[in-house]
Amino acid sequence: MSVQPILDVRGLTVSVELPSGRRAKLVDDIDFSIPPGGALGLVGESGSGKTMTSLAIIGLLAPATEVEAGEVLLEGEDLLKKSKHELQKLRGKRMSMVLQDALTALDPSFTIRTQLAAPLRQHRGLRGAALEKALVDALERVHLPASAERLNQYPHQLSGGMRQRVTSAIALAGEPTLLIADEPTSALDATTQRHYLELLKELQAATGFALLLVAHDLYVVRDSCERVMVMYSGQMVEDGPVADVFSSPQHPYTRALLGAIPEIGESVAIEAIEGQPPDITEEIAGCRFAARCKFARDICRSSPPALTPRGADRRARCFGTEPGGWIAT
Amino acid sequence: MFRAVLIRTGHALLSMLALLIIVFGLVRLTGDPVRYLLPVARTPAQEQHLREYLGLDKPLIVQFGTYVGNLATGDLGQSFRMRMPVTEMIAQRLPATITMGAAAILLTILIGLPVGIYSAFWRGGILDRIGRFLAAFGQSVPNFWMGYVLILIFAVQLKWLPSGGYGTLGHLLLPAITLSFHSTAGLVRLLRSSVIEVLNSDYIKFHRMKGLSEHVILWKYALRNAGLTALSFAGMVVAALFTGSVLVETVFVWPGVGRLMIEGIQWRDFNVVQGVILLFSAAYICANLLVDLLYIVLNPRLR
Repeated sequence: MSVQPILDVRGLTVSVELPSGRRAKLVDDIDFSIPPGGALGLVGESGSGKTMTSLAIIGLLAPATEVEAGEVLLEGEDLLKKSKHELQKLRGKRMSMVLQDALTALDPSFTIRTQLAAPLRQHRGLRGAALEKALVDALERVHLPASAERLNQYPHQLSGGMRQRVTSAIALAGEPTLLIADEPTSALDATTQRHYLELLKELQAATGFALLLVAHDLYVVRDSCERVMVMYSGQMVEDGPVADVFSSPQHPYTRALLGAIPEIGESVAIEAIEGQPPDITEEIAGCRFAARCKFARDICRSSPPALTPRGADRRARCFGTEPGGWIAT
Repeated sequence: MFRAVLIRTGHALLSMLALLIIVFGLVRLTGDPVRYLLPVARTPAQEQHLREYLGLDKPLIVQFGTYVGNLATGDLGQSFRMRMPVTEMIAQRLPATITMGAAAILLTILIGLPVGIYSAFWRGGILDRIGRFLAAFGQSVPNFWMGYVLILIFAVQLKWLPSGGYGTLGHLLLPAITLSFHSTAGLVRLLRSSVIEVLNSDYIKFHRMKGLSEHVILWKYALRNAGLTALSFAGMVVAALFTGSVLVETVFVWPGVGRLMIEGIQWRDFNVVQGVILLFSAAYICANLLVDLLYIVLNPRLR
């Protein structure tokens, strides 16, 4: 592979200090990379470490949390070695992020113009007529009808779907090479969700940014990404090309996630995943999913499985699906 | 919007009328002005004559009717003691009160705004702790006591500033500081909590993701959003300044309307007391009306 990835995360470990003074790992030894123009889906339940991973990349972890180990290479430069000020200069310009809730991500006291113009001015140095043109272009690119008038409106005057489009326009205003979208559709209704994902793909095709799509829903990822990575309780449990993961999941958790979502036209009973993910403060000897896994055997509860290859470009963390394992895939 | 202003003004006039009825009755319960105005050696005939002259012999309802009738023409009546129109007395004293009030508002903003914002930004830090201590102190200490402590330190001990009187900037400093203490403390506390709330919001996080500097985020975006909350406080500040001025003017021998009211109460000078209270309530109501209007201008969601 001679092409340098846009984002290359190696051994990323994020921990938080507990009131007891001990540090608990929220993200445990994560590796992944995204090639130019590529799209990676990051999937897991809430609390699995998805959002922590994205905040660690962009450099905005909450004060008590910190990166313990690893490298985050953006086009070859290690972001973890940069100062706060250097990271601030990179945000919005080379990497950007769209937040979970479109309804609260825009500042209620300022017009769309003010909020969109700030990154255009700061990252692309636009002024006057050029700025004015870029403002309208940015909104047209996200298919916002009547763009010129929209500029002078306030967020509360726009619908949820429109606000999410504006948010994307703002996030992409600095022409970043990496866009992190953290559950960008969870606050939208199903139809708007679909439109938004289509828009995201279209924008990606037009400008070529690498996309890290964080979602708790595997099906959101299926249509938008080439590769998917599944996280459980801070660990990677499976990764691989989307089509392969969907047709033959190599981890019981992935299988359970797929089972928990009904397909249109199908009349199977929805299979909920029994139980809760473990508390981060708990220390677990074996596989972290063992307590909820219906295939678990004694070995799963006593020793932790490693992330091992499943074919050329797939990996999984499960004794049962390793060669000679007892789970049929 | 014009309609809203009209309705608010109507409400304001009604509450002023209600207030006037209460004050009108209360001052008359405090004693008989005739006993203060005539020398100790007086005859009942003299008393009766003065009472008739002042119109105090008529039934209460007639007195009230006459007062409200005169009020409609802008006449607040005569001072029993000074034999001059109350409007004229207020006009003489008002500049002093306004000077002190304006200085106190200026101090409140100059100190309260930066301290409130920085305590929120550096919350948990040393500046935040000092600021929070002073704010709690300022809100719990009565301002007349504060005034005497300041006099003791800066006038009696250090001899830097005069202990009372009116005229120069030096005279203004201590009363203005005393008067502003309470409202500065309130502004610090309110601004601190609203800035903290705003800084934790999603839109501030998104401003950070855009790569804006913390400086711009704090002073432009966080201040505008937190300021809206703090603005509702402004109406209360004006009220606090007026009620505070009554005590502070007395402590510092400041010739303002607050002291005029105290003198009016001492001499049972009914018209003076009523006039000053009407002025205070009108100022309070106007300030709140102004805040409401400003709110509509600054908050796009209310337009």
